[in-house]
Amino acid sequence: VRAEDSEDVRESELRDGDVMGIVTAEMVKSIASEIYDYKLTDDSARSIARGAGALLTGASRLGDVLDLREIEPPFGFANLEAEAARLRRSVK
Amino acid sequence: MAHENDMLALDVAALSARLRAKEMSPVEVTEAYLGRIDALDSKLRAYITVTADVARSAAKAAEGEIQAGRWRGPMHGVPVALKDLVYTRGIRTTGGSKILADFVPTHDATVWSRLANAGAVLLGKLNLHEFAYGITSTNPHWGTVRNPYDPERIPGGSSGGSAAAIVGRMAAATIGTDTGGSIRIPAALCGCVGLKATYGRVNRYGVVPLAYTLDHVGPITRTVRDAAMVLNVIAGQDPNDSTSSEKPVPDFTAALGKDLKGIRVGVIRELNDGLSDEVAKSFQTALAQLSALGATVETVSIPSLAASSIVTAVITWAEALEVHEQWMRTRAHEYGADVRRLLEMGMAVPATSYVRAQRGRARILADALGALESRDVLVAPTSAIPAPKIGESSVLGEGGAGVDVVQSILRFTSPFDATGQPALAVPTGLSPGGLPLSMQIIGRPFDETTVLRVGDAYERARGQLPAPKI
Repeated sequence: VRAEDSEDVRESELRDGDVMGIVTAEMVKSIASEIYDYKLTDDSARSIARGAGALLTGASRLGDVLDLREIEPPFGFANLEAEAARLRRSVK
Repeated sequence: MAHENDMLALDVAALSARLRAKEMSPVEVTEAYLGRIDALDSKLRAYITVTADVARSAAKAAEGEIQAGRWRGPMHGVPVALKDLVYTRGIRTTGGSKILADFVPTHDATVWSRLANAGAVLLGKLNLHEFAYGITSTNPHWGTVRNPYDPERIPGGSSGGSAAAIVGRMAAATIGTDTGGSIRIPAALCGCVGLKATYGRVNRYGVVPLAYTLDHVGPITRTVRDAAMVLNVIAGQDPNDSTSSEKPVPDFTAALGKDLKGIRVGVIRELNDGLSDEVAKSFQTALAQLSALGATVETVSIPSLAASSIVTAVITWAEALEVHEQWMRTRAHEYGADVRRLLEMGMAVPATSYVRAQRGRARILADALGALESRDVLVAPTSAIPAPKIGESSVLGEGGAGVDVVQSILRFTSPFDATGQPALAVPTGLSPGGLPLSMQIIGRPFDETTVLRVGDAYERARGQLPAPKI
């Protein structure tokens, strides 16, 4: 059972999603620096926060908008196995 | 010897027939194209690299083989060009970037090796939006690609050079790639045909990636028949690409030339609003022509399409950053400002959003397949607006309101990168201002045959588009 399959938890996920969607310039600067060793100016960080914030707010609501209950991501073992087989062939 | 303009005026189907019949020579045709590139490319900036020596050598070889009765097939001796993110062994492949300005691959992309084995002649490598990450083809490193119908306007992108070269008669057929619309958008804005086949139908081995799970490779051509002919050569499984499909490859030209009796067409309601007046009028005329050809045309609703621009943006931001992460750490200053900003945006995408967006694709495809249960194809405009001016970020839309250029275009194309369905952009005519307009035809996965059949029937009914006055 996934969290979103429960109506109660789904509501809390939406609330969490809305919070997650608020991206601040400080957060962006921090992620860029800590994870990617990448320096952003304050202006760039503000601009990215605005653009990314709007998109991620939308993304956080996809579970509700598209009703993602019981939908698996399309990664799949078949793809994994095919890629491994290709790697084996290239080794030989 | 055939007149140069006569040779350049021929589409692949007609040119191929003349070459096979030895009425034209691959060497003459190649020289005509090289002359055209020499005369025109300083205006359109469609090419990054012109491979004149390679082309002359291949044309000579093709001529010898055809003269000796060893005709390889419909692409034998046909001059083509590749978007410059398709690997070519021994030939610079820049990705439209400064970062790869001196990159010379040691192997060919499969799409090119298949065309080369079919006897195609490589004229060169085509300009694009840097790393295929954008829809304008305004390239800070290799020059701004211009629209052949109005050089002050964008050709669309990211395969802008591929479309400009076709409409400018600087190649008989070209190859582009499509992650959010990058084959169909330039085809639409420049007035030619662009085919994004089903994800996996055309292999991606040796093509610089933008977003692994959304990238498609396909032809940009003058006619639907030409697109089918090129697809015949490049489609099919490739052991070097585990995402390429094992499904059998039919002859995509087999269903061409028919009418549309019995074909059921669904007009996507969610993509039939917010259109500029000229696009709306042209699209309605195209629908009437489909009806006149015998198709049943009715409106269909796919509400989940509204979420697809979020889905494709999240996936593209995340996957593109993964591709470029090392260069962003060490060579960020070498990117153009717009591409660097998009890559920076990717840093803010959490893993949860990425996985959720991937899961969303199944819902959108399921809904699109539902719409196709009792219909053969879906149709929509390829773009809400004709080509905007270079540098223009918003234009006047429906009712005179300002609309964002990027959203006015990507909203129509990106859903079918998310679903992976085949989608064909076909011109529907010119606006009163002389700019190309376009319709896209979308089909069931791996049913390119029906998509091409509908596009071909419509194209023949529509008639020839007036050529640009370059």
